[in-house]
Amino acid sequence: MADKLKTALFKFTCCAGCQFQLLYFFSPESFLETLDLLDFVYFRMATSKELKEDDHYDLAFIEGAISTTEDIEKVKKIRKQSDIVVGYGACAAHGGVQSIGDWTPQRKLEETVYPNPLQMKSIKVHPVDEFIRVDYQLRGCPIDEVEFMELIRALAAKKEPYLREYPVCVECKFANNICILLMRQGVLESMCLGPVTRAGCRVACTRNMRACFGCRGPMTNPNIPEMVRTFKGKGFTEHEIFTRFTEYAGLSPEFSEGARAYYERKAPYYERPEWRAA
Amino acid sequence: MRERRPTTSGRSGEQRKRIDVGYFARTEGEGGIHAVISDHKLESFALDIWEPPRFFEGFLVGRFYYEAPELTSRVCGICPVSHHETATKAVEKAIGLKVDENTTKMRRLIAWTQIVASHIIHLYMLALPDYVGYDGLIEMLPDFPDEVQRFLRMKTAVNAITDAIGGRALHTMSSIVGGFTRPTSKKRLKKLAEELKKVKDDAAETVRLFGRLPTPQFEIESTYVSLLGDGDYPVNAGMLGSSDGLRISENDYRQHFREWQVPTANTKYTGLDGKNPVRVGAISRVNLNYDLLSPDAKSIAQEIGYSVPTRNPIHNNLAQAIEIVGGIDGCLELIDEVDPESIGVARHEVKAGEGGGITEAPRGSLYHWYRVNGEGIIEAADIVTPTAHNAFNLEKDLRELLVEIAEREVDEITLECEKLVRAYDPCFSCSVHIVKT
Repeated sequence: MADKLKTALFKFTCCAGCQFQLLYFFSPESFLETLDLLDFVYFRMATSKELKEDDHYDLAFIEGAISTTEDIEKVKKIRKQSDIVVGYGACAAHGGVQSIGDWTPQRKLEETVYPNPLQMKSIKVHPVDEFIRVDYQLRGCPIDEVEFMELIRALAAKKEPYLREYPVCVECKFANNICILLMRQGVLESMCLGPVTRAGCRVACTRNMRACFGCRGPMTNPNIPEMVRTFKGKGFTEHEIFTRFTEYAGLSPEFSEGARAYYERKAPYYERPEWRAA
Repeated sequence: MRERRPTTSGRSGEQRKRIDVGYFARTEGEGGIHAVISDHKLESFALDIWEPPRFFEGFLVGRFYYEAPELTSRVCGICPVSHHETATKAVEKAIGLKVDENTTKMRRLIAWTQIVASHIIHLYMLALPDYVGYDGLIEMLPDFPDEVQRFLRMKTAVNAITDAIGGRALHTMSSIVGGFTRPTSKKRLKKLAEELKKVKDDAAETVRLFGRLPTPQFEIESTYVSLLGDGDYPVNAGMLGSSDGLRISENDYRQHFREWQVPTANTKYTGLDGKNPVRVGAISRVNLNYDLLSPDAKSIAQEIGYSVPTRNPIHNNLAQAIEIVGGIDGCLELIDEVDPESIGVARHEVKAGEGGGITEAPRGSLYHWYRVNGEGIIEAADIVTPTAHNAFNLEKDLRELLVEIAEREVDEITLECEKLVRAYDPCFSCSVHIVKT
């Protein structure tokens, strides 16, 4: 066995669930194997080891989206210090649930939550790869155990990791699931983004009779207009379609295309994010 | 990252001590405290809360009612189920939907597994390394194989039940407004109950382990708040009560509790009647509902000499350990009672309305409130997390602790403060975190 990869895990704006996925919800076998392959020198939730200035990492995981100006500088520094940067989870990849706020003017958001918005210094939510190059992206809310293990085994063996580019539908067929997009009624159960969402989640939602909500973001070359037409044909409103596309990965160009019809109609709650004009 | 730097300066005879903790390790999120002690008196003190806000209450406006449980479960990675179930309860109240008793029991079961799971995380991964002098559980692995193996056994057994009911252990999805899309089978639950029974000894051992650890003698007056059980230990139902005799229904929550913004923080502080700090969490639940704990939990509490009501904030760790035993018994009992095969999703029409719900999350009482219009769109939302409930009280306790130990050395003061903060088991990304200057 070669040396362990010197690894650091950094948390930005997120719920920290993906860290807990690794620390707590992985099977004991995967957890112990991870510790065999990776040497965590910085992992604040797991250990009180201090961050060393100007340290160098073989592998850096970045969890969470970027939503302060200081964090932009921090991720740039992490990029310089690391050989491989892996985006860790849906927030790092596409902004995650807090990216829903990007469709509302920031001032309005601040006013809704805090009585004195002048005290706030918030900015919009951005995926990590808007500021730095990310070598590999673990997707999903939360990340998937099998995909994580595949990735670190490949990296430890100095091989190119395999990340799926096909849609969730492929995995769903392999799992012998009934197609809920065709069968069921109701938004939660049948407005399924499976045909346009990247696989790798081992059909976590559809095997529980829930529609895929696209937490892993778009697959390669998705047919978004056709997806929207299918939803409309099933009788879903533009507002419903908008919310489905913008839950986890609405900032990706592909999914924001699906959301477009609604906000361009001057919807009462949302407006098009100017800084991200297509 | 900021380091701890003891400094002494000033005029001769006067001693100035500065306490700086920039970033607590092994707490959920980032957090810090800053204090200056001059001539054995507390000169200044700040608990700064600064983490980037995520505006959940803002972006929920304009979303559909059925999205609330799923989106708010992403508030916290340690207690997603608690947020999920509280949001479900509040939304159902807002749209005027009632679910049957079986569904409520199933929700109670999954909420119990969440409390037990979160306590296991806190005690073994976040708190224990402090006491044995290690950086973390990973570093403890070679020297404490028994404890680490016990941790792994317990979490595997408990996670399996959350996974069976919720469809996944983290960020569950089979539970939705109205019921469960794919409830598990009685047979599977029975099988998992057998596994759970096997770790009951491990749970008792956990209580003994934490009972043996040295606990500083430090007593403080606080108002303890939690749901009050009615025959059962409170998890997702009951009146909200306090050690000062408060008894209110969850519908009246907003008349008694008020949030306000403070200059040093992105977390809003919460107080009873808009001014009095309250303490929520395992310590409050055990203080107020000791009689409702399972017989085994009570006997193990007696064995380690845990007496209620306790006034020592560090005892929260012991209360959590006792709740693990009580929680496992609670789960076993519910698995016997519940009938998963009969659970479905209740059909419902959406009525405009508003409603709030309180449940006991691992870290204490959690409040969600929503106003939904006739089309099912959320018009306003309010979430008060346990850490937001506690923030004001934590500041008060730290202040009193600092006054009491102001004469000691800087390193010792820092360690005691850190222990107190960690015993609160704060969840900074829930409340919007706590941090630096």
